[in-house]
Amino acid sequence: MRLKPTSKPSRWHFLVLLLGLGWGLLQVVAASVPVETRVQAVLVWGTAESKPAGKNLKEVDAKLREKLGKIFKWQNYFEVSRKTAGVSASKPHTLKLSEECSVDIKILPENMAEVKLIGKGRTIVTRRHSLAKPDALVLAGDDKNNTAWFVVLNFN
Amino acid sequence: MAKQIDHKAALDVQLVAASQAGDMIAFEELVARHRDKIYARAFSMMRNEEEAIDLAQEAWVKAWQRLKQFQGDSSFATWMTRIVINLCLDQLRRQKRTRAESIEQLDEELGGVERQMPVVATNPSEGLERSELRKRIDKAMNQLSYEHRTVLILHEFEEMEYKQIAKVMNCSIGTVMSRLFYARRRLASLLQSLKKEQQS
Amino acid sequence: MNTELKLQALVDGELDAREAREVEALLAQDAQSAALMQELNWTKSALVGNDAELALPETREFFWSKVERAIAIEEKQAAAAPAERAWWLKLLYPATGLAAMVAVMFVVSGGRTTDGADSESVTEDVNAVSFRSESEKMSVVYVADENGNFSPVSEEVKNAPEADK
Repeated sequence: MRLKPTSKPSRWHFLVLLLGLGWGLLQVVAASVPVETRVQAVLVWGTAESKPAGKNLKEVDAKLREKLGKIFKWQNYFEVSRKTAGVSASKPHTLKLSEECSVDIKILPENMAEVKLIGKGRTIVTRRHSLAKPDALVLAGDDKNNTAWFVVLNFN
Repeated sequence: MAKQIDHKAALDVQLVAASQAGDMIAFEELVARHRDKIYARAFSMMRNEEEAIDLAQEAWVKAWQRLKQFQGDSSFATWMTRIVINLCLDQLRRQKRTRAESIEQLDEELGGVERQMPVVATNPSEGLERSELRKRIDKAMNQLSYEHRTVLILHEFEEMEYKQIAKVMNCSIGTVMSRLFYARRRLASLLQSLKKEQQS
Repeated sequence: MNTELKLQALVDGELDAREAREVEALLAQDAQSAALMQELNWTKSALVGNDAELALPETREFFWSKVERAIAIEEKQAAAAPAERAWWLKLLYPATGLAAMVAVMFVVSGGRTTDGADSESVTEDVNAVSFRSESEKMSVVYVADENGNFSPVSEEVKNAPEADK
């Protein structure tokens, strides 16, 4: 049987090599580009009183209402404001939720986010939150007349 | 090394022993098991949700601090209940200095009003479903003054004797008896009124 | 003790045998006292086992996180309180308190369901409790501002005007 003589590297070999190098380069580039995380922040007011008829208050969506209702004692939850932004390690963001309140959000290494709740110009609480789990982050506190405020943050 | 206990399946005595040794998870299980009862007792005395929650919380903190003193003479639940009752009584005493009493309540305190109440001729709780009776009792209790409601709770629900009640309420046995008598007569009258309201 | 209170004491088993016999003899002769006795018995039996049953209106995790936090604060204060003791006890007790606080913090950090990577810090006049709800997939940080000043929801929102028709 005659063997085919060994040939020099063909165009296909070069193509495969090029593709491999290109893919590798792409991975390096992708790693260096900061991943943007979409953050949604909702400021909510919780109260035991039902919404007075005609008042310009918007109830939170049913899903959020159910979640909050299972954890906290208030019966009614009203959405005060809602903001969304893209945040990355190189691009921290401040979401202003009301005249009195804003949240500073920064993406940290190791899939973490740092959230600062700012009230009246001072930092009320700084929270380091793992983005590895699908949890919403809720910063909350007592408000006057046995009501409460909530800042609900969703990261995706 | 101490044997790990299954907190969910353990008896109260086991959880208490573990808590006394510093096992906070065991203590958390005790809190979970008895928190409703302790809160309910605080609420029955204070008739205010916020205060009852705060006092219940304070009772659990005190319990943790005093755990070593719990010798098992009574059940853990009874011991805890005593702690929250004492906290409620302290709070009521503080509030009494500033609380505005209604004319009716002052009449209660002065005594003698109960003698003017006609004796209830038929059993006001007869034929009632338990849930309905509980609702009516709760409604009627809500109309008593703090002192009268407290003495009724301590005697009827906590099964304390006159002298025990006198000690925790810091009054004479005679005062306990007078308050209990008034509270019962007033309760009977209120239950009778509620029964008539339902029937009409 | 007047007659009515004696009747009550009989119902409650607080009379000795002699006094009990005297009251029972009275009941046999006095219809008014017998009627009052009956009312006291009805009231007593109506209350037996009918204490209101209520559920604490906070979740297990939230309530526990407040208790846990309060215990840690108490222990920290106890450890910080000065003691009038022998010189060697002055060294021993603070160290023991600190060790207890560290032990509590160790158990707290080791036994809770919150993700170990999560943490928060607050200013001096703010307390915070944190917990995680596995079922609702929510991590919660509840702050208590001691000055009670922080309220992100304005009064205008709470007293929102009538919606435009």
